[in-house]
Amino acid sequence: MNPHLEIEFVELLEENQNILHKICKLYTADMESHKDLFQEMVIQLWHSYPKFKGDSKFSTWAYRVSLNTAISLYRTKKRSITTVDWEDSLHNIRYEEYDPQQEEQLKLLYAAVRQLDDIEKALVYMYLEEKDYTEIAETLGISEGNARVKMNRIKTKIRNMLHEKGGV
Amino acid sequence: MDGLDLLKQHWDKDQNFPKIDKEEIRRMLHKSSSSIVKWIFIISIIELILGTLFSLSMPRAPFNETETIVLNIVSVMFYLVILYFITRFFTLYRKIKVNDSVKQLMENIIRTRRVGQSYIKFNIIIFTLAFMSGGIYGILESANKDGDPVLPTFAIAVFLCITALFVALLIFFYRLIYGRLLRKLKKNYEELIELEDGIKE
Repeated sequence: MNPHLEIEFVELLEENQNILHKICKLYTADMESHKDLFQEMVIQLWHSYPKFKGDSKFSTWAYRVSLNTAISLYRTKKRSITTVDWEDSLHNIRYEEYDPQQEEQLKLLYAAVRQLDDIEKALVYMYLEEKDYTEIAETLGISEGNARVKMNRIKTKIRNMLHEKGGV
Repeated sequence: MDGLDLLKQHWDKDQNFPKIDKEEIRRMLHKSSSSIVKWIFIISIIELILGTLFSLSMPRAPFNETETIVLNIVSVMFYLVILYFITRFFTLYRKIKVNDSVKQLMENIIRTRRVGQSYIKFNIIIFTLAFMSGGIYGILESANKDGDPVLPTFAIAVFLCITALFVALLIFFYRLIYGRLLRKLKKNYEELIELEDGIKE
């Protein structure tokens, strides 16, 4: 492929890599799987980059391709050894803002989200990214009304999961 | 505060990720994909090649003139069907685009996969018919040569059982391979369809 295209793509991806990391964080529970999924997302993005016409922002295009990779293309590998789990912590938050109770709640929340199925995780990702329902529906290929109803059900489901564990 | 809203607050601030530098990204670009679509493509190409090789390597028994004409017509039809499958597979394969909606992408993958599946079904049926007719023809011919007036029912029954066993094994291994490859995709697709149907009710 065109070397200029590669330079351009690498720069854009480096700037926007947190989009991929955030999706990986919802779809995987350990570092090794995170790296595998990240790698597959990069390959899929690169392969379809020549068709990216700039009609949407790079970040919008990247999250759609990455979500599709996580849901439809990525084959979860079986691991013989357990690798290091993700640390769902507040380590990056300033010391004065650190709240151990909140940290515990966050851990429970991430654990609850990871128990959802792949489609529900996609909805949660887009909700957290503050995408509107028109965009959520378009990304998933469902109607706006259904996306809204499903999101409300997911919120209730998470609330119930947390109540069972005595969380938030 | 709602559970997800608390997560949302943290979500925006979360920068706790490994930083991948440009060199590492560049290396990733040249690695090979291990996606479901890639495997479907590889397996389908193997299927198409094996199916064609199989049809070419079928033993040709000595036939009379009329039989040869019939066989040639059947062969031409067979190759036309193969050509149809190959064209359809590549047309659908080209439609698989990762920037489509989740539903569209899954539908395109499943549709492409279905062409491969139909191709294998077609080959299994042709194989079974050719194998059975050839085998039974051979058994009857040898009985005729021996001048045996009794129909060799036992030999035919054993032959049919062996054919059935072989076909059953073929179907079993085939389902095993695809069952594993497409389990996740099918589950997610069903979930999405259920989501549409369930909410409409």
